[in-house]
Amino acid sequence: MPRIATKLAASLIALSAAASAEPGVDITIYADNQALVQDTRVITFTGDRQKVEFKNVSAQVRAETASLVTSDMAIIEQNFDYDLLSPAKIMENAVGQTITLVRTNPATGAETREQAVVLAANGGVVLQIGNRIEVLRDDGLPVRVIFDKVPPNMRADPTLSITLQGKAGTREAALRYLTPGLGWRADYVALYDEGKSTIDVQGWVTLTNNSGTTYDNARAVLVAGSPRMLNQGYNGGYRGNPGMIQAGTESGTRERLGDYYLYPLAERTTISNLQTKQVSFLDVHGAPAQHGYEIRFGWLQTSDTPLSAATMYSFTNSANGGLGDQLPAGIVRFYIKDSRGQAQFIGERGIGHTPMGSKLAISTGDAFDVKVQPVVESRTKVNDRRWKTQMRYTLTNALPKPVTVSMIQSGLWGDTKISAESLKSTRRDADSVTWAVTVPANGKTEVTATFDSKY
Amino acid sequence: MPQQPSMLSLSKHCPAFLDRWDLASKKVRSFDKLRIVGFGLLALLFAVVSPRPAAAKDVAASDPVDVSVTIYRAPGRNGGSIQLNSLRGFAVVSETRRVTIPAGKHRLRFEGVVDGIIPASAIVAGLPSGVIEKNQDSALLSPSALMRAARGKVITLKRTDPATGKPVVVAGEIISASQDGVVFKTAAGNEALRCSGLAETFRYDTNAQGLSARPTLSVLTSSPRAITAMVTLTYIAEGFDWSANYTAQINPDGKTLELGGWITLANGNSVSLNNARTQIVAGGLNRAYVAKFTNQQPQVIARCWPQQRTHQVPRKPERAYQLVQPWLGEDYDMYSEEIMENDGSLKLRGQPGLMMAAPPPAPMANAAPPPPPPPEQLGDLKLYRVPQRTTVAAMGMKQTRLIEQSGVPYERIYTARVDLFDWARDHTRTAVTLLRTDNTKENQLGLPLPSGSFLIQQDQWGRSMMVGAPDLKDTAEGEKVELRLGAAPDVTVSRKVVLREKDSEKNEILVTNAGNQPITVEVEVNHYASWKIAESSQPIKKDGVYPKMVLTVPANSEVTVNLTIKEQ
Repeated sequence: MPRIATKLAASLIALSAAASAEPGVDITIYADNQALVQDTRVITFTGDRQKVEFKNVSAQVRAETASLVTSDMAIIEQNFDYDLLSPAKIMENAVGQTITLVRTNPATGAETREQAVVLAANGGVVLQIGNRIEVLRDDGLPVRVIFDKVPPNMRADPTLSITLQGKAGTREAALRYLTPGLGWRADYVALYDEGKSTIDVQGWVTLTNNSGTTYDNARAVLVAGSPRMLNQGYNGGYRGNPGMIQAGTESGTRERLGDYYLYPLAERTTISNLQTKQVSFLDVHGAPAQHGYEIRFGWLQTSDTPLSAATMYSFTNSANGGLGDQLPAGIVRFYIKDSRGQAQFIGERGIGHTPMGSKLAISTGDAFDVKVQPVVESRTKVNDRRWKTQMRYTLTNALPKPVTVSMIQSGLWGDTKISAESLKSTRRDADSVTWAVTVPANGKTEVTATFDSKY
Repeated sequence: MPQQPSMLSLSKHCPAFLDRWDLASKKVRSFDKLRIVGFGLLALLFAVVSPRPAAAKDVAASDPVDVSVTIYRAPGRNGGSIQLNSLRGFAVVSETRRVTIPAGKHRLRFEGVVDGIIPASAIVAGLPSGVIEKNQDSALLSPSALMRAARGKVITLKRTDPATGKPVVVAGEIISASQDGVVFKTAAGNEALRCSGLAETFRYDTNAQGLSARPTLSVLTSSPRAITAMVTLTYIAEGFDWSANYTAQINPDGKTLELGGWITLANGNSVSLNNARTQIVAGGLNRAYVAKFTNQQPQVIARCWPQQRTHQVPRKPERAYQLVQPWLGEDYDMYSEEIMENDGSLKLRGQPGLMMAAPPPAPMANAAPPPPPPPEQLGDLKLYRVPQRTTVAAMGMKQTRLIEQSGVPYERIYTARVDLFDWARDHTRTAVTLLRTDNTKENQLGLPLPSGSFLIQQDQWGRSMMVGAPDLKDTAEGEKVELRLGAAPDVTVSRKVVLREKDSEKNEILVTNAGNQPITVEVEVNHYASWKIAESSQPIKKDGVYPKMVLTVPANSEVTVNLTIKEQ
């Protein structure tokens, strides 16, 4: 073990006794499998040029982002050694050097020792013993090879080493670097109460560590946001959020970093490699929620069989009558209680970062009993520039209660107009209309519409 | 009212989330050092920094005393058979376990959870002391994991004297253990494992290195006093699936069907769910797929340096391997149908869609148990309960009855499509037989039919013969059920253009029936969207993608339809 490391260890012991100083690991984890690690260690500067090794940095460290921050110090060079100590490497490194052979007599078990110089390690190992040359274990007999030392640049793990020169003394130094392999998202458990039309929502942050390293006793902050990274392409920062139907305008009480929200973990925690860790951050009971149905058709969509409407649950995350918090991106899992009171899973959906005060409509899946069959009944050319399209939508409901389906006809490009319809529609935007269709219990409703369009 | 804890901690009052499901999350207390030993941590530096403040001790929960499993189908899969080695569905497993926790901070371990667990979905309910954090470590006990965990620690090297058989034991330290090999150090110096030709191995400390023999989920909890409680752990686990397989026996009267349905459920995990309350959910529900970590640890392989000897053909030295596996995130592709190698237990395979159902158990001839109860409504899905507790065995399949309906009337329809494009040559097509019925009470049905595969049979010469194996999609009460059997060579539909003009086309459509029964034939007409049917000697209706005419063709006879289409 290099002298420096021993010293480091010694100073760490010294430091762990001193409660005021805070060496240790601070990790800022972003949602996109990216983390900023600040690893504060106490370094004893000799005043001369010296090499400081940082073991157990992330095995995926982006070495080009590493920087050591402390006072009165200059960095001479920085190396990230990936040369792994292995039997092959130790042998290759021993070429030209002297090793010790221990031969074991298979008959008697007696050991004989001799010194040998490794001449080559190309495929097999060629040795010079005294003034003869031998191939190692060519006769298949047991031979132990003992190396006096491990090559200094070989590591058991990827190691960052920094050659520096600083004013003599013991000080804290912070190593900062970016690493992929650490990421987080939110996981929401939403329990819908059919009787009361409310949801209970629990939010958990789920942190995953696949960086190859365990961070012992770390202070972690999770950042809800996706900082733009190189090679993310032109629209790197853009993320859609299909579940959010209206973006909120409320500010929460959580701390921010620029435009991102911060979720600090309350206490230090150990983040093991290959670990999934969850900590709760949201717990809301009885927020109002609506269960509805939605189906959307494209222009001239027609079907031989009825298509299931989507089951939608709508709620807000407003402070007023909603979840009252911004929602970091993640997965919302919906549950509903069965007749025996056991919560059963009914579907899940990803959401994006959602500002507070937003309206969300989340689809959990296809409704088994509520279906719509769209049929293009006729297409008639009115003149050179206009077509008339008659659509019939047959909505069926096999449930013993009436339902309302929000039926959207999209693709009304250009100046497409509805010239006749059996139920009043609402123009959602230039390109689509919606009908709120009530379908009686175990019944059927037909909606017809005539579109006047250019094509 | 919602609360807004500014830190990741919850307010003190946390009303029961649910009577039996109060997601215990009372308050985030201070974290202690978690003794997560294992691997990855070559913490020589940190290892010497001790003692740390009171490490959380491990407490194991009992094995499950009550298990409930609800199995969901692979999204997007309707019919087809399921294969144990590639199950794309999932299950929600709910296990009740007894826990006894002494006062203080403890790590409560739930050992033996289903290996397909999605840890982020885990919900722990009924823990009076609350959950500080939940962890799932993927460090399972294996020779490789043991070796990695022991890196940098003092171990015992055991060598056996080849002559005397006497073991020689020396203390050592593993300096490096990776997929490139193992280097260790003893008082003699540095050596590599598996290079000497001697019988040598390591012995490890018994204090388990924090490795679990079984998949384990753990939660950190802290209680001011000792508690004993029944705790329910609920989680989603992958590697399950179910399918519905129907049999339709065509009765000799030629007018009714005997319908039977079976649910086949499968568990492709290595954990059995014993004596479990078992449910199945039908209907299409959304899944959110995220990139997954490959749940694989870096392997330690005791490779030696190249040991080529003089009689061996020279080859280039092996290239060094990378120490750290790159992040192998994969997007779950729900549409890719992998056809895995058959394990021999399922004989039939082929294209998905065309695949025949796993033959359901033959219905009992004499015993007539009551038909299974209809499913329960679960939001907009359907929940079926397996009537009694059952064991969903590891790598096992199980069947339970879904429906049993007798005397279901049906219509036999023949259907064909003709293409009336100017480029399409005159053509003759064989019609396809279709059995059609309505899923109504009047038809002895009127119950939800989850999507699945049908096996349609008819008796002939005293034996049952297969006449078709179509798929059915999720069919609600009141919907039409159409089962396609296959081509009926006796029924053909031909199209002949008799007059082609600049913007119109006169067609003759001939429908023939070589059978000795009058039949109903539905002919679909396919033409350009910008054209229209100008004239037809038969009424045309449109209730789907194509305009259609319904014809009755007498036995051993034919019908001609004159049809003119016109460009608009």
